[in-house]
Amino acid sequence: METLIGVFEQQLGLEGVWALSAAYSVCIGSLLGFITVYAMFAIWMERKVAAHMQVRMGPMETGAWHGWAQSIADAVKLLFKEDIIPSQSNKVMFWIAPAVVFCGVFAGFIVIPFALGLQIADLNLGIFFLISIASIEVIGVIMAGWASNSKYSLFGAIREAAQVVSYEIPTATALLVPILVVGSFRLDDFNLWQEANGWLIFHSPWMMLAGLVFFISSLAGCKRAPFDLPEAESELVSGFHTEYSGMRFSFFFLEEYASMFVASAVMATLWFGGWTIPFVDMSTWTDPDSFGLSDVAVTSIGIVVLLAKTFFFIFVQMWLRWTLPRLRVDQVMTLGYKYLVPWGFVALVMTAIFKYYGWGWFPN
Amino acid sequence: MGAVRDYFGNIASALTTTAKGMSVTLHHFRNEPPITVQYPFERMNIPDRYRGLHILEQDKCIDCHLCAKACPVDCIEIEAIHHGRTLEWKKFTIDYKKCIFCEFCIPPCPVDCIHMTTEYELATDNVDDMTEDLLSWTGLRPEDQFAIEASEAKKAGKAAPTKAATAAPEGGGDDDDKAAKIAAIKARMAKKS
Amino acid sequence: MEALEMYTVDRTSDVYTEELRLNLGPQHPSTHGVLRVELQMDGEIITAARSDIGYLHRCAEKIGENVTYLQYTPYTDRMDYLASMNNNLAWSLTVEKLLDIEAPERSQWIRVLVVELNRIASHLIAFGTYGIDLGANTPFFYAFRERESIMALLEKISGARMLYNFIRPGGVANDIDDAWMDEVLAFCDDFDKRWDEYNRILTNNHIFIKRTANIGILTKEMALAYGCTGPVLRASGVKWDLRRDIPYLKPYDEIEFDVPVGMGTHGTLGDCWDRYWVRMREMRECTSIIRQAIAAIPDGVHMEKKMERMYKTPLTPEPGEAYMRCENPRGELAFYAVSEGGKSPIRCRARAPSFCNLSVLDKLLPGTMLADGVAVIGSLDIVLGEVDR
Repeated sequence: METLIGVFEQQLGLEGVWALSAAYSVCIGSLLGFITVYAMFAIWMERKVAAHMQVRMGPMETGAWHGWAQSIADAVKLLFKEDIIPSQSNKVMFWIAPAVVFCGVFAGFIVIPFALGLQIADLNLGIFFLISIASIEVIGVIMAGWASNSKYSLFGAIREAAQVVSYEIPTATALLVPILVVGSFRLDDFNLWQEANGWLIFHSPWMMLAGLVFFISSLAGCKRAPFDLPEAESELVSGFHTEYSGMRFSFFFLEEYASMFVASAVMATLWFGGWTIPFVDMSTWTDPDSFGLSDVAVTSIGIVVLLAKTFFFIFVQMWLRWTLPRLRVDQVMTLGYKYLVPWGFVALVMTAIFKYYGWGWFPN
Repeated sequence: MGAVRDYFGNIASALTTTAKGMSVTLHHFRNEPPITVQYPFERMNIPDRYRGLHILEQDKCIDCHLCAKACPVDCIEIEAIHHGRTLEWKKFTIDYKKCIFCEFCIPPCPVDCIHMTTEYELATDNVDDMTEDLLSWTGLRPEDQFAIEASEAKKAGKAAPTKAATAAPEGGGDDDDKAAKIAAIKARMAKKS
Repeated sequence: MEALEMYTVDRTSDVYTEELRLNLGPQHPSTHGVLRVELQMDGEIITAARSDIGYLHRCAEKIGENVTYLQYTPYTDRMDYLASMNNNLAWSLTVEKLLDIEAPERSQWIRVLVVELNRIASHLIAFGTYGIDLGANTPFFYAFRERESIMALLEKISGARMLYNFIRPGGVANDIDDAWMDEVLAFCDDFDKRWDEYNRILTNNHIFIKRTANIGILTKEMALAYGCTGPVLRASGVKWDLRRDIPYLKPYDEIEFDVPVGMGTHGTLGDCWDRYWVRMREMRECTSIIRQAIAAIPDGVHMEKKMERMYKTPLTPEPGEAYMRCENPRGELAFYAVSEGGKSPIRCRARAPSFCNLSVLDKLLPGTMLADGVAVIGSLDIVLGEVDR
């Protein structure tokens, strides 16, 4: 971001606020583009993964090769669909709810380090920001559920509120564990630390436990099966977005896949080294002595490494979704409060002890 | 202690059974080929006995209406004028909106002239197309027309008409196609018994 | 509607809660057709329920009084459309009883074969859709893959994929050959392997057990009082199976098979898991019956020559009445027909198992949660075509 502002100021001669807004526009535009393309790919991937797990083929016709253009066709269809607003709904809230939902997740992308130095905002409190900004989504979902004026939507919204609020606790607790070891809230610090020391997941069994707790509670945060209660198809028809159609519906869809990406990227960054390769200092690759790669090439390698890890976790999320039955609402609460929260704290306390005595599979 | 055992038992069982379930889905993901049949391009094998759309051997049919009577849903409509043993066909329609493909119209036929093909595609954008006429021709065949006119003329004591039949038969373009289909059905039936 | 009066709410205070009335169906993903259940909800908990049926009423019984005995067979297909063979069988047996004839020996064995195959197909749907009701989508597709094999097998002998119209008064429509029986045996072997897979992915899944055990408990007394039959009754611990207790086909006397009953493995006797597990084990019994039937099938004719007259001249049984019940996948299906010597019965009634099993729904739902309500409806395994007829 700062680099970008610098570029605009020096190269294009823009001043102060102009350079800032130009930089923002570029960032937001590219991020929006990335999310859209990613979501289309992820939806296609989800359909393919689901299909092949279910001895089907999934989309095959659109775009000749294995239906790769299916998501594009769907997006175009959704764009052109009539925007239906129920006559008894609260129109203003109905209008803005998808935007609110999407904003929360969109803001989460800001702090994800995609590669060395490729991060829109390098916040000191990156993880803290992520946890807090992700909660905005709940407000949007409740708005959507309430404004729809449908009982099924209301049920979905209430479930979502209860679930997401409950699962913030284990998520935050589990996130504290790597923070404790690395000693920073800044996301890029984790990458650098793991570049030097190896993946955090292998730090201690408690770190693995924390990773598991985070993964499960992030599933609940993303409303992915087996925690897809807010949209539980067989119970609530479609949950909070029952009444939505066309573009507004697609925003909810986009949000779901975007939050999957954020959760997986955080998982990859905090426990699996992010864009780095352990014990390999990628910044030296630009030296003529080693590989003599350009900056762009090294950045691209970083992006590919991060995306590979992220997509692995997205695949696991899909894999779980097509395997497990859905939990019941009280069981979700039981799992959250009786299992994940205590174990999250166990992991936190044990890691603190490990850190104090310098135990663990590699020193820090 | 029961509660504690339950607590840890739940964790163990949840993790192991989830892993087992995931192994099944992964096995299918990697090893099991899809069973999908890409319909318009590939088709499933239709067994010989399939009960599909009907076909009529019109030259055999004697307009006895037994098939229409056997039909539980009254979807067969037959109209023909009898000139002695020759038939002047008006219509022989099956309303596929009603037809339930129960096969009850096949066994009663005394001359074995109505059959079921293995065709099953009924989709159409026009409701009227669902009522299908099984006739290859309507009215009289030219030779029959000629014979009838001759006999009528004979009755009236006039000279036999010299001009050719006026009413040319309609339809009949798909006769070859139909004959091939009927031959196929007969071969099938022979194999069955 | 009397059962569902809103309870009085004190609206004088600033903050008050009230119960919510939720319309589950008739267009809902998990009511298995067009069942409508009116639910009174206290938050997520159901406090009262009333099921509303009749959205698929097609006068199936009245039609029976206007068509001939033979012509009614395809209509029975359309009652419980997932188990057409069994419906055909029940009606054919009723007509045979009216006519006071018995189908040829070979045809009886063929009937057992196809009926048990169809029972597997029907239970596979129950299994697959139950998974979907609980949010597990994948078992559904595995179940449909095996069902597809069964449909292909039955299509080979009957000519139709779902509404077979195969079993007819006096026998069966077509004879079967050895090659077909070999295919059936191959299917049975394959199916037993797949059955283990189903258990790995769904039956033994911890979440699945937690979702179904101790939910919707149907006691033995209640099941008997409401006239529940089939797996729903057996899951409550009553060992009652018409195939075993009143063998309506000769082969059932000669074949060895077990009648699975609920045992309350993971919870209480008669809960959703028991109902599910009884169906699963019945599928295994079916493959065993099929194997024995194929081993013992005698030579003979599939239909008496003199019965083939019925295609041309409608059957006219002597005046009298007949009531014949059969063990369908969903319970006891019975047909009642009264003849006055005419071409069609003057009274024709069906006792539909789904209808009787559904009657307990209103009693099972109160006290459960919305998600459990879906599980209970799924575990009763109703077919609305049969409930409404």
